Amino acid sequence: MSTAAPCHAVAHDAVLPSGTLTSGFVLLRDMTAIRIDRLSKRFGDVAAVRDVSLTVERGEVFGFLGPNGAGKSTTINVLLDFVRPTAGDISVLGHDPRREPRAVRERLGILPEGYGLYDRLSARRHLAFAADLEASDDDPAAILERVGLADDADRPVGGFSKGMRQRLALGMALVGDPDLLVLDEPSSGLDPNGTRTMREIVREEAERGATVFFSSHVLDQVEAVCDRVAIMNDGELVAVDSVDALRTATDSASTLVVSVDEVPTDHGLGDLDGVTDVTAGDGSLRVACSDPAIKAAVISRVESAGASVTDIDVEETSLADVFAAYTDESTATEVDA
Amino acid sequence: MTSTALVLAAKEFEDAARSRLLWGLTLVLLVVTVPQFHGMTGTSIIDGPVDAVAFFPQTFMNYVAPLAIIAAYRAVVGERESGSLRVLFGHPVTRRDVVVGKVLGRAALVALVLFVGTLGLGAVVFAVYGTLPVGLFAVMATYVVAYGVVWAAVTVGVSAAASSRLQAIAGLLGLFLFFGPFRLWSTVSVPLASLVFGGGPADGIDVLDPGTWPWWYPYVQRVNPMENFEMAREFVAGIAAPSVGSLGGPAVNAFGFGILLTWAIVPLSIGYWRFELADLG
Repeated sequence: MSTAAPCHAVAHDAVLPSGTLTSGFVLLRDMTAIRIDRLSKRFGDVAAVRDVSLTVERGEVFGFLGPNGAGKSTTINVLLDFVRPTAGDISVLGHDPRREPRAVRERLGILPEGYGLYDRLSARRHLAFAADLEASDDDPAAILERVGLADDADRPVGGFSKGMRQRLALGMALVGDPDLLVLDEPSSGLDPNGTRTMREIVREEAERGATVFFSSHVLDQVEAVCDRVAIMNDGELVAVDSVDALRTATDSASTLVVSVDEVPTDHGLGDLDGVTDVTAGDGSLRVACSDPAIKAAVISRVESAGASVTDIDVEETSLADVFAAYTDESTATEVDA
Repeated sequence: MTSTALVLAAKEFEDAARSRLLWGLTLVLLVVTVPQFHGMTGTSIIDGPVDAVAFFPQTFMNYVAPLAIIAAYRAVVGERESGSLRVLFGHPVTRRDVVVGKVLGRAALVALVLFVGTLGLGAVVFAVYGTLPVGLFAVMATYVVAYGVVWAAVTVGVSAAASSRLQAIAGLLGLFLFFGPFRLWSTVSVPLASLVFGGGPADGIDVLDPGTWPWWYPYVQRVNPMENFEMAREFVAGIAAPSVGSLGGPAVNAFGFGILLTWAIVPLSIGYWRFELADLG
């Protein structure tokens, strides 16, 4: 489970009045790692991002959650000045990425999505290259050790697996101790070991004082490391909330699936505290509840009703459930489609 | 120029050196030029070592552009498509750094291959005549290398302007076909220039007889970078070997160098400008 500190539990108002932070209040600007003000981005007829406003404070581990195609990567690409906004203002570490790309990139480390590496060059050469670009004296060997590639340092990366490439790209992002670390779907291609390494690094970087902006379509990953979360769907910001509030909202949507030898008719599960809904199926009961910890109580209630429990399973909370928790049913249905 | 661009250029060169590209191109260039050049030394076209060295550009004329195109068409658009630009942009690298670094890296690559190519022809001259006019050789090698740099710049410019590798290779192939061995440029430009400067159709112009050329004709030829390269070779050779007569006067040749410089700068600038404005997602 998460060890993320609930230190930013106060729900922020995502929308700031336009221009609040642009008028030269250096102190104020400095407290903000990322400020996105009414950002829209269209590609031809397709609106990839619509009117998104978002502020990430310095030192936060900020989750950016949404299904594939929600507009997360487009938003990140705007932060990088990889694509240019159709409308809206962006400030990264107090600089406009469009007008001052170098100033932004000097203090930013990114693990992008859909990146490429130089297949003929070794992992060590990649890190030395990154250090040259950053004018940093970081030791490639130390970073390779940190991301778990010490044994493959001198092999050309053309022979690397997806997970090894992901570790190397993360290592390159860490060169020069960035003030802001942007990780776009960092777990893709990583095995459980790699995911653990990645989480440890996120925590270490946060402890060092770096801001971490972490995008994912997997709820558990965001919950595990982030303080606050923004949820995006279909180009729009659905919600910005503390991770604790998110957890409360999503737990209410979790479902226990109880397999039984014979479905009891009079189980009385609905009377249990925390059970919101019960549906009987063929050989199983689906128990919607706000707290999966009532599992034991559910089992004993079912057994006392004369059935024996053969299996019990907690259904993973899906993003659709999260959207359902934050929006009305019709929106949630659209997400499923 | 920034140190970032130099770091990029150095990485670029190292990456190319590890690929078979550098060595493959060098080998192919030697295979297509050395036997052909050696054959020419036995004919009346080449008379002695000075003539032979002055002939280098004629031998290279149709190979330099394809060489630069193969060596550099992926320079910018390849990194855009593979996504390695995304990794670069996490570091203090601007779009201008990328274009400048690419030009430096790829120009160095093309220059090295062409230099080895001229060494190959120099070896033929020495083998056939037992001597090599070193000063003239240095001048002609520099000229060939500089022309290669022009095409490297054109190619990187197109690569920066293109949004896919296919687009880049199509654009560059189009340039080569238009200006290259099929004489499409003359077919289009001569009648057009005749209308503009001569006030009528271009009758009675014989390509082989300068006596029939109107004043504008040599200038129109020199706008084509490939013909330009070949036509200025005697003028360039004259720097080190005054015995070599030049084609066209100083005005036409100065115009020709201006045109080559324009080819080096304009496509690259347009490419950079398009790249600067592009959405790279």
